[in-house]
Amino acid sequence: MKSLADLKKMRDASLKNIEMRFSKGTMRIQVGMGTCGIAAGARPILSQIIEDIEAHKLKDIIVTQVGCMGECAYEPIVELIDADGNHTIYCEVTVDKIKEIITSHVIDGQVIEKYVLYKTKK
Amino acid sequence: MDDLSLTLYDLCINAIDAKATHIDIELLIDDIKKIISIKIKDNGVGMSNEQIEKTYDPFYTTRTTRRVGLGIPYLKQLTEQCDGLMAITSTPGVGTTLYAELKKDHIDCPPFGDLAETLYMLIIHQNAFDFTFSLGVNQKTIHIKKSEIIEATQGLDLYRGSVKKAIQSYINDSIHQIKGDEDL
Repeated sequence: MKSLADLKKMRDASLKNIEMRFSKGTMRIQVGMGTCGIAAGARPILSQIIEDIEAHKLKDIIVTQVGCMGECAYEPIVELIDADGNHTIYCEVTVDKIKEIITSHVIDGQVIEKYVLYKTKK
Repeated sequence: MDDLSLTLYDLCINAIDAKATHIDIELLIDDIKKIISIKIKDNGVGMSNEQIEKTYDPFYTTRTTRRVGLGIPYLKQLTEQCDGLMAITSTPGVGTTLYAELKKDHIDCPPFGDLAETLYMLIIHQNAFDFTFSLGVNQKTIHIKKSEIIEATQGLDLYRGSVKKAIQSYINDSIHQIKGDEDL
């Protein structure tokens, strides 16, 4: 990818093939990217989420970078908010854990209790 | 922080939190003077002199979620550890400029890390802001602009792994133009 022109070529080729995500998502994934989150390793987690969304052909997922959630000791923290407004906060997330969370929670709808810091139901 | 790319990201998040709509990120490497310098200039809300002094205090933050603010104190400690310096100038309503300098060969000077991933994360950040990243290595400089990448990828879902790889590849190739195979 030597230039912006190459990037535009890739865009033109990809636009023919991809189905766009809808702007209104059915699930929101929030990654804590405050100083504490960044220092604890949140960036590779966010990167892995983006890789997995494509790998699993997931649609209607909104990924958001958020600030510190106030639980610095438990970073990296990832919060999943489902279509019904239920919040699940996973703590001390690693790249391997996030892969598991995507497969189990995002795809199969099964919360992985052992990684959960807390949950709130709407 | 394991590397400078994470520190850069953290400083940019500070600028975004300060409601900046444009951030100039400058990273200069001088192999003769053996210095690495970082400059982050934003057009956010700015700070008073009193607030600037407080940012060096790890127990000061404008956030309400917690009572510590570690980003700036960490950078200050890092620059001091690496025989460097750090300065913040700011004008309320105009913006803030942060400058940091580190001795390149100092044993405590962290590696650069994945600059492409840091810039990609800033590109996909949900807040509306633009940035220009300038990398200078021994008098040669490249500029990477978020607006140009957004235009080049218009219509694509930036949250797709393949788009992420393409953007990072473009950034890495741009960086490679001036640094060659040598590690930063």
